[in-house]
Amino acid sequence: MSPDISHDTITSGSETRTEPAQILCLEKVYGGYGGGDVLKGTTFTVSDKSITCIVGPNGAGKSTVATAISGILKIREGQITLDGEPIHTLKPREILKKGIVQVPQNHSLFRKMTVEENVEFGGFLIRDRQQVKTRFEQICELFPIVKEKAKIKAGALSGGQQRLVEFARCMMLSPRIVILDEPTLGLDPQMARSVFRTILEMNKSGVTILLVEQNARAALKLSSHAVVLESGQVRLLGSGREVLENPEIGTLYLGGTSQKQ
Amino acid sequence: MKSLFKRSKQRRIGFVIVPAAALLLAACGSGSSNASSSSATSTTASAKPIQIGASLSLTGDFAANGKSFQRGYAIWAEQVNKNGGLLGHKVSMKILDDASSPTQVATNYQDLITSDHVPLIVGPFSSLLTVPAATVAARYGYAMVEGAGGAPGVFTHGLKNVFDVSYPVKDGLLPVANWIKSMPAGKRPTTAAYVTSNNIFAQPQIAPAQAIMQAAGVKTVYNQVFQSETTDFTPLADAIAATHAQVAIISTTSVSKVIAFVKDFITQHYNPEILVGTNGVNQTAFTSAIGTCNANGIIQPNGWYAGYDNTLSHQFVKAYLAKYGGTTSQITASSAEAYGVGEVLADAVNATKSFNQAKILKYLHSGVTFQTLQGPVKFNSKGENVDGVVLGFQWQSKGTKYVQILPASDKQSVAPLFPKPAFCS
Amino acid sequence: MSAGTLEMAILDGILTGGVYALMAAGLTLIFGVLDMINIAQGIFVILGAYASYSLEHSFGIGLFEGLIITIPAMFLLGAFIEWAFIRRLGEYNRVSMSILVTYAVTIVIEGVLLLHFGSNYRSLTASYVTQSFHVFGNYLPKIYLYGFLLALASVLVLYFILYKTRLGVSVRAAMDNRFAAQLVGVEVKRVSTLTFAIGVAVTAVGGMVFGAVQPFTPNSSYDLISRLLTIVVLGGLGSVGGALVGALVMVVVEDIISVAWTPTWATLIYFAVLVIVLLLKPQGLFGQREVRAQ
Repeated sequence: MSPDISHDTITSGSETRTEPAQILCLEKVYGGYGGGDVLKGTTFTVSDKSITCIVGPNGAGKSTVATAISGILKIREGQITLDGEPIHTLKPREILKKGIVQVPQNHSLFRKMTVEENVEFGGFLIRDRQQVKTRFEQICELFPIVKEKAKIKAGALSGGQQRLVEFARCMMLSPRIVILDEPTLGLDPQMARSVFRTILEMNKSGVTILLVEQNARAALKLSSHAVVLESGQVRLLGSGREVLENPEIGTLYLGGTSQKQ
Repeated sequence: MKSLFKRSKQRRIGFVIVPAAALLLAACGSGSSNASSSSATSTTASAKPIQIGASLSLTGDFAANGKSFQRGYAIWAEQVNKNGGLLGHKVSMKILDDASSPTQVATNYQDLITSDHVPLIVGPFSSLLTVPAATVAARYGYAMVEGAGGAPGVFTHGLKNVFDVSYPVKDGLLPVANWIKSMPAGKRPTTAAYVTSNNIFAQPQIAPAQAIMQAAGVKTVYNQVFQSETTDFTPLADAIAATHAQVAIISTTSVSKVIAFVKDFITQHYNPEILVGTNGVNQTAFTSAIGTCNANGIIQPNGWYAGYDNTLSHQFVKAYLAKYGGTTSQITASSAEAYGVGEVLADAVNATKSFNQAKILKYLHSGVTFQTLQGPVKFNSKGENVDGVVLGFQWQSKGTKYVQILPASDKQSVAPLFPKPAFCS
Repeated sequence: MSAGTLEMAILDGILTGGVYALMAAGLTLIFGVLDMINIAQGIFVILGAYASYSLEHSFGIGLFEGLIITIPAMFLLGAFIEWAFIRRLGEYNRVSMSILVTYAVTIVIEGVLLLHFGSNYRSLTASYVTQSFHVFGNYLPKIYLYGFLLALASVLVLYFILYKTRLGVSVRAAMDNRFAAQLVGVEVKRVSTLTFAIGVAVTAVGGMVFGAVQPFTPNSSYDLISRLLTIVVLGGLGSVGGALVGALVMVVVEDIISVAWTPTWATLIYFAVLVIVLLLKPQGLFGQREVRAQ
C-alpha cells in the first residue's frame, strides 16, 4: 500500500522479520454509528506479527476502526480482508473464530465471576472442556496474576489487574490478531508500564497486535508500525519511530498527551 | 404501585358499549338526531328519543354486578318503551365502562353530561363508585338515582342529588344479627369472628350487627380489617379458623375475596354454625370456585330475589326471562336494583312531567313513597331509603337452591339451615 | 392468636412466596439478560391460568398434566414476542421503551381474554384445591404444598439450566456484561430470545398455581405485576436469588403482620420494609446495579 511500510524499520516488537506479510487490510472503509460516517475511506494494512499503533486526535475514528474490524460495527462501504478474504460481512462470532479478538476500551470482565471463570470464558467457542483446561494452564504461565487471583471475583480487582485478566482472556482462543483499545486508560504510570510489558510479551509469542492508544508517545516506542488517523482518514503511515519523530505529528498529537501522562 | 397501574389502565378504557336497547332503537329506524322522521314509524312515541346515561363496571372487580346492572337497565328501558316511553319519548341506555375504577366513573359521567348531553342519568355499581359519580352529577345539577350506593359514606358528603333505592348498607347484617339474638340462649352461638375489607361498602356493615350480637352475649373472638391489596388470605382465614368461632362474617365487595376465605375454611375443616358473606355468595363464580355442595348453608343478605312476592317484581322477572332466558335463580338482586332505579326515576319524571333536573330533585326530596319491585322506597333528606328492607338468603339443598330465610317473620322465608352443614370435601 | 397460628402463617408465607418467587424469577431473568422491564409478565401469568382453565374445561385435562402443553406453549409465545417486538428495541431509552411495548402486549392479551372469557371471575378447580393435609395439629391446604413443590422444582430446573448448561453459561455472561459476552462469542440475540421464552414459560406454572389459589379475571394482571416488580426491586434487579428471597420476604412479612398484629397494616409494613431496604441498599438485597441508574 504505502512505501513507508514496505521497508522495515522495526525498533522493537518482532525484530527478526524484514519482509512481513500483510495479514489484515482495510480498503476505503466507510462507516459509523447512526449519525454519519466516522470512517471516511480509511485504508491501511497490518503486517503479520507486528505491533501496529493507531494514533490520532479524539474523534478521529480510532476506536471505530477497532469495532469495525471485530465486526461489532457493520461497515457501510469498502472492505476488510484477513489473508485476502473479506471478513466485514461476517458476524462478530465468526470473526472471533478466525482469530481476531478485541479488548474494548471500557472494562469488559464479568464482574460477578471469578478470574478463573472469566479467563475460561475466553474459550467459550472451544467446545472441548479438556482443551479449555489445558489452554488455561498455558495462560496461567503467561499471566501469573491469573493463577494468583484465580478464585477472586473479577469485580474486586484493580483497574490494571482487570486489564491483565482481559488480556489473558483474549489469549484463550490462541488468536492471530489482538485489538487493544486504550489498554492503559486510567492506569497509573507503573501499571501502564506493566501493561505495555505484557503487550510486548504477547507479541513475542507470535500475536499480531493492533493498538489504539491515547498514551501515544509510550505506545509508539514499542510499536513496529504506526497509523495516524485524522477525521476518519489515514494521514500518515510509518514505523513507530518515524511517526514519533515526525515534527508535525509530534506537535499536533503527541505534545499534549505526553504532558498529560 | 397498584394505583399507578390502575390509573394508567383506566385511561384506555373509554369505549362505549351500546346495549341491546340501543340496537332495538336503531332497528326502529330512528336516529337520535332527527326526531321528526322517526315519528312515522313509531306509533306511540311521537317525540324525539332520549338517551339515559350510566357508567357501569363491565370489567374489573365489580364486573359481574356491573353486567347484572346493565341487564336491569336494559329491561327497564324496554318496558318503558313498551308503555309508550317517558313523556312520549322512546328511551335508550348509553352505558360507558368504568372498569370498576373511581376515577374513570367520574370521567364517564362528565362525558355523558357534557358531551352526550343526556337528559337523565342513573347510578353506577357499588358505593365506592357512587360518591365520585354523584359528585360530578351534582356539579351539573343532575339527580342521581342509584341502586348500589347505600354505604353510609355515600350520604356523608352533603350531596343533595343522590338517592339510593336499595336498603342502607349499614343495615345489611341486621337480619342475621337479629335472628341470632332471637335464638333461645341454649341454642344461640356464643362466639363470632368478623373480617372485613376496608372499603365503604364492606366495613360499615360490621359494627351495627356486632353491637346487637354482643348485647345478646355473642363474644367477639376475632375482628379485623384487611386491605384490598392483600396478597395472601390464608393466614387471616387460618387465624379465624383457629378461633373456632361459631359465627363467621366476611364482608367484602369482591367475590374473589370471599372465595379465598371460604376455600381456606374448607381446607381447615372449619365449619362455623353460621357463615355469612356480605357480597358475592350468590354468584356462580362463587359456587363454581368452592364447589356447589360446599356452598350449602352459606348466607348472604340482600334486598331482593326472584321469588320476592311483589307485583312489580313478578313483571320484572317475566320480562327478564323473556329477554335473557335461563331460570329465575340466575336473576341477581343487582339487576333488580337497577330496574328499581329506573322505576323511581320514571315516576319522578312522570310526576313532574318534565326532564328538568331541578324539578325532579325537588320531587325526589318531597318525601313521597315510590313503589318498586324491591318494595316501597322513601328517601330521607340524605337520600337513604328509609323503607328499605333487608332480606337474608341461604344456599340450601346441597347448594342448589338459593332461598330467602330472613327475616323469619316474613311469610316468604323458609326455615334456615342451622347449624350450617359441614363442608362436603 | 392461638398457639401455632404464627407458625402456620410463616409456613403459608413460604409456600405462597415460592409461587411468587417463580414468577418473579422469570421477570428478573428477562431484566438481567435483555436490559428491559417486562410489564407483560403479569398478564402472562393470567394467560397461563386461563390456559389451564381451558384445557381443564374443554378437554378435561388436569391442572398438572396440562402443564405439559401450557409450558411449551408459553415458551413459544415468549419466543415470538421477543422476536416480533423486543428485538426491535434500540439501545436508546431501552428500559422505558420496553415498558411501553410490553404494556401494549398486556393490553392486547387482556383484550383477547376479555373477548373470549368475559370479565367474570374464574377459578381453577380440582379435588385437591379444597383438600388439606393434617400436620402437627394443623391443616395445610394441599394446593399450597403442591404449588410450592412445583414452583421449587421449576426454580431448580431454572438453576440447572443457568449453572449446568452451555445456554446457562451464556445467559449468565449476558446478564453480567452483554458486550463482553458478545466479545467472547456468545450469540446474545439468540440467548435473549431463549431467555425471554424461558421467563415467559415459567408463567405457565405460576399461572396454574395462582389460578388454583385465587380467582382471576383478565384484569387481575395489574395487581400481580406491581407485586412482582416490588419483589424484583427488593431482591435486586437481575438477581434470580434475589427474586426468590424478595418473594419470601414479601409474603412472609405480610402474613406474620396479619396474624401477629393486624391485616390492616400488613401491606403497608411490607412496603415500609421495601423502602428501608432501598434507602440502605439502593440496588436491592442482592442487586449489582442501582435501580435508578437504569
